Amino acid sequence: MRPVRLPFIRSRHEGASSCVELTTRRIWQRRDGELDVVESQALERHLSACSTCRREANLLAGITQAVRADPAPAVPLPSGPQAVAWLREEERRSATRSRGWLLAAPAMAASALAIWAVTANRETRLAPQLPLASAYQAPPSRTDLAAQPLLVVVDDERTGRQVMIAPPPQP
Amino acid sequence: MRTLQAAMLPGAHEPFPISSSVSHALSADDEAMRRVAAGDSDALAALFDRHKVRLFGFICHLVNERALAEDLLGETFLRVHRSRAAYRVGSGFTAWLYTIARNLALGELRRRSSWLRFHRRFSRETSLVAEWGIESDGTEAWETGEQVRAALARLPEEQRSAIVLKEYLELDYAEIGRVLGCTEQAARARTYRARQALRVLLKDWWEG
Repeated sequence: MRPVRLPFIRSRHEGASSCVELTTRRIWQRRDGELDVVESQALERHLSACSTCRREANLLAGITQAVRADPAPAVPLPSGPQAVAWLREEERRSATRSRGWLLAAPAMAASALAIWAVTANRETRLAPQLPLASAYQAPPSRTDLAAQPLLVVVDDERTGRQVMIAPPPQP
Repeated sequence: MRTLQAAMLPGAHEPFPISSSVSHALSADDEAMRRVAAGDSDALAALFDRHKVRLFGFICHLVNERALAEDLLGETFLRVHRSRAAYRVGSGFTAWLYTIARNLALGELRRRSSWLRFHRRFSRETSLVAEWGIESDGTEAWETGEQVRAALARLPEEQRSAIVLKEYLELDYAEIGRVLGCTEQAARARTYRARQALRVLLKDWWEG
């Protein structure tokens, strides 16, 4: 890159390290309408003398031109009255949807209530019946279990030998 | 805040707010919005006709797909119609319109982003070239256009919006700031960064 030693550059170099960098800035400034006539003329003089900056200017012009191009719609865009007719239709549909929901809401609520009632009733009928408190028998306590032997030795009359059996249940 | 008494036509649903900075001479868009709020559908049609081409182009730049841009164009005017009472005369119709369009486009892009991430994982090369339907005429200008649009699609959305608002719609930096929700200085900085990024992206192709 060539050093900044060109006549179109003002007293301050604005941190630019090359004439291309400064030219780029000047071109954007001119595009934004922020370059006065004197600066603009100086820029033109520089561009006519510097091929590197001229190439850069062509690139920037190409960018601007390309960004400014209108895309072609896939189908022709509707006219204003057509668009308004569509908007009205959309608004009507939207209102219908809203009204439909408002009308459906009470029916849905009633259905939900009925389902809940049937389900709750069924659950009540199918729920296991708990025994009454008076019918409750407490399990044997730890002390009772310790006092009662798990096995007892008795004489087997058929074989004449002693065998171990579980004790008969006590009332 | 003053209210514009003349706007209280039959059918208008609420007083029309008018910003303190507005002069007595309303812009054509402001006048049209005043009539839209009063229920004048011809005014809405006129607004649509006035802005549709540039608005479509702006959305197309953001979403890179013409069919989607066409849908969003309609959605934008639907929002304009529904929000007509909220518009403040003198606050800048153009910036308001493009803010609505940008928000809709960004919402759509966000919805699609998960699909795009999935697609890119399985696609070695995903074309970012905008599907713009500009037929090739074999000229250098057409090729430049294609290259620039492809480079533009690679910029971050904020930079892309900034440079499109500046170059394509020729808004000033204050208006760009309003659309992007930032200060005028920030809008200027984003536009500058976008221009520089485009220049860098295109330099090799340009010099090749």
